Amino acid sequence: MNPRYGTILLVEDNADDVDLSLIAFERAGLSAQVVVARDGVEALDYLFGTGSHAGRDVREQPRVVLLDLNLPKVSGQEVLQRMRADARTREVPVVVLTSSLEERDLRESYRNFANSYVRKPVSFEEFIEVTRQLGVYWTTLNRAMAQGEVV
Amino acid sequence: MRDAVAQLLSTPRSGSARFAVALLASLVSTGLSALVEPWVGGHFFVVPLAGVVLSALYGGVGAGLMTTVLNIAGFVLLPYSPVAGTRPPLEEDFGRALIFLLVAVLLSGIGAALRDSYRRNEQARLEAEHARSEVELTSAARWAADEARRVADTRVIDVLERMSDASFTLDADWRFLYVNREGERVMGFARESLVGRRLWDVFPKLVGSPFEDAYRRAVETQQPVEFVEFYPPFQAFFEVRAFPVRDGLSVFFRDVTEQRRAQQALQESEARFRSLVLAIAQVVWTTNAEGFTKEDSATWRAFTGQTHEQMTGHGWLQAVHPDDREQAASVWKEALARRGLYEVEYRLRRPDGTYTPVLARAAPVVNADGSVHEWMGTNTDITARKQAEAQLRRYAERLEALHAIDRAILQAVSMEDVARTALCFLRRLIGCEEASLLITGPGEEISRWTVSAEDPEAVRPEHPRSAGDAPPREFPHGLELPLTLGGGRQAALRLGSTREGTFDELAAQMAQEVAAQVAIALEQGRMRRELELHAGGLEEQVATRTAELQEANAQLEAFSYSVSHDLRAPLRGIDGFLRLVEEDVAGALSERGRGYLGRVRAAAGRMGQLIDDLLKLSRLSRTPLERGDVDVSAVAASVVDELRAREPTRGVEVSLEPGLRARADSRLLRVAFENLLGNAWKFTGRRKTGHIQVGRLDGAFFVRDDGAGFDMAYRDKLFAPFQRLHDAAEYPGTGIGLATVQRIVRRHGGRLWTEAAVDQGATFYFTLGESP
Repeated sequence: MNPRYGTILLVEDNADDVDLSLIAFERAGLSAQVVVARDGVEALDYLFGTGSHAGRDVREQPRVVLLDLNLPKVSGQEVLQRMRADARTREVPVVVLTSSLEERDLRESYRNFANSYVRKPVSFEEFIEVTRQLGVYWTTLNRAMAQGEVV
Repeated sequence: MRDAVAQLLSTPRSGSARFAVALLASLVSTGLSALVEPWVGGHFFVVPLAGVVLSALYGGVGAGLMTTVLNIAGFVLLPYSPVAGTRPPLEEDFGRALIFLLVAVLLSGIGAALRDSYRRNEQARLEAEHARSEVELTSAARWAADEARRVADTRVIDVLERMSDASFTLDADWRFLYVNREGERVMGFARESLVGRRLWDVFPKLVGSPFEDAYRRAVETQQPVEFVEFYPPFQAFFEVRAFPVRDGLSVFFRDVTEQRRAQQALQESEARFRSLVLAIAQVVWTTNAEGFTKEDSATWRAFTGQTHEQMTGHGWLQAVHPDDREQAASVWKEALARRGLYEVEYRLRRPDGTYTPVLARAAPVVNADGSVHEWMGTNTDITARKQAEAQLRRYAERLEALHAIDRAILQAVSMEDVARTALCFLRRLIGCEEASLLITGPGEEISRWTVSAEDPEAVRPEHPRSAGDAPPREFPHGLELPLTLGGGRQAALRLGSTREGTFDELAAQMAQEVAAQVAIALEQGRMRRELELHAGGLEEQVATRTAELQEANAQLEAFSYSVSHDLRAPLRGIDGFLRLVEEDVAGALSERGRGYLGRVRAAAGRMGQLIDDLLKLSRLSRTPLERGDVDVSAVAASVVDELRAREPTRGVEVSLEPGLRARADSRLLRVAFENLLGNAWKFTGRRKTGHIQVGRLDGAFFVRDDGAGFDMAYRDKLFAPFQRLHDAAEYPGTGIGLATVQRIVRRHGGRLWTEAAVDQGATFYFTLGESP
């Protein structure tokens, strides 16, 4: 993987969605590395170098975190809160990617300083398109804080 | 003339008078003779002769002679007088004078004789007259005496007539001799009709009456009588005085009915006053001016049993109760000093040794000069009043107690409160040693509250296990009243006393009343507790229900949340993987197989749409309604613009009534128009040119189209979710639109209805819960 394009952390418990997302990224021709976390705990472990990701160099943080809200163990909102509460992850862009269009979810996400809120379409074509655009935008167009390009 | 002659002859005369008359007669006759000489001529004797006669008649012979001489002298001398002398005396005159002398002497003698005869005659007459006057004098004296008596009688009668007493006089035969004017008036008869008639004939009612007795007695004894008697025919009392007089009776009488009546009235009034005093007061007494009892009082003696000696002076105080004596004495002393009304209450000892409360009152009887003559006093038995007062006091206390119990009931927080108030009051009112309230509950638990004399304001609660356990104190006298209670409880009010007669009728009555109050109080207490229990249960129920409802809401919320999250994810999987299958094996599949795959993906898509619509509907119910001023026309126009933008090729004519406004939630109203106009847009799709109209009619907004319409028979199904009246292939949709409109209209408190016909379009009307 080309470290220039950095890492995308996909936090998603639905295996179908994970696969479809990966297919979408692949079809979009993204060169970024995609790390998948199956629940909130795993996401936090990865981000803070704990648990199954103990020893990971946490100075290197993903270019973007695609965060589902409905997660086992630790919810997406909590993951967002913990990220924003920690200096190491405070500036990492988070895109909430979920099926919900509930107002409550939207409000809470923005209140927790999500950078974007995107609804997953049912239609595969639309889904591929959304995923592609997201990947392109966050890994190539968007300038994150410098840490993503260290090393 | 004759009288004059008589006078002349009879007059006694002195010698000088005779001489003077003779001289006068001479001068007059001489003068006259000289004067009348011319007329008588030679007969001048006539005049002088008359003088001589007169003179002789008056003075006797001597006077006659003297007159004669003087006349002759005159005749002689007269002719020589310068006055009458006309001629000198002639010789013949002497002759004449002589004749004259002779005649005159003769006449004098005759005159004198005449005179003497007259005088003797007169003398005789005088004597006869004297004798006669002697006789006359005697009869005049008698007449004078009669006259005097007559005058006296007249005066008596006058007095009798004027006197105010009636009077009459009777003769020996009882016949009226005289009746005075007052007598006429009183008896009613004129005296003319009475005089001469017998008394008994005129007034037959007198016969046999005391009047007759008295009159006859007076006559018989010849002593005056005096009496007052009632005469029935006149309906009057008469005061009568009868004096026997010679051969009869003089009666004086007057009507004294008025005086008698006044006197009688006075006596009656006195008697009445006496009865009145004795009716009010049992005892009447008098003291002297200094307040010492001297005069006996039979009523005092009878009331107190004291003797006259014992009550004398200040001895009466010994009959006064020792405790009241000092006050009675001081009030009496003070009244004496003040000379004012004496009024004091004290107890008097009765002959049997008991004491009776009395009211003593006295007042000074004052002399004309203002000094006190004596004191007059009474004692009134006030036992009844005292009893009434005591009873009144007890009644007042009882009323107070009942009020207090009432108040206690209103304020009472516990059964003990009620018991304490009721028992304390009742014990004090009745004056018994102990009062207790016993309550046996449905579970046989026993509560007993007792108030006793040792601690009159405190209630002692006990909870004996059974009636036999801790038995109540025994009293020789007691009263027990059962209380009627509900809820399977039994109660009794028990009073105990060591004194006999504590529980009289009034006490029993009071206890009964208090018992009734307590029963009410206990019942109220029980009901209040039950009510509280009930209210508590209700609150709990409400809380439970609310919690359940909240739970249900939360669950619903969670459900719709999970629907929005989880229900769509599989659809995405279905669609995605089918698409991948299509890509991978498209060449291997038949046309039909590819068709099937397409239909599966379409179904998944529709299901996604359904889920989205459902969530929208659910969200409508959950978001709060926010009314504001909404430009309805603008909202509709904006929705139409969106529809046109989506399908710019559609030929639809839309007419919007401008200036429509409403107080509504603009977001929800927009959703409603999206659905209504969306439907109209959709169902006019078959028309070459569709027509849509938005306006207001009778306060209701409406959206009208000339599209497919529908059969009104199905209008009931129209507004239920997922109900569709058209083929989905022809007119796509999830059947949630009108259900959404219905919900929005209802949330505004409005109404939604429709008019339609197949192929003739449809009109949807709605109001927004406010007057236009």
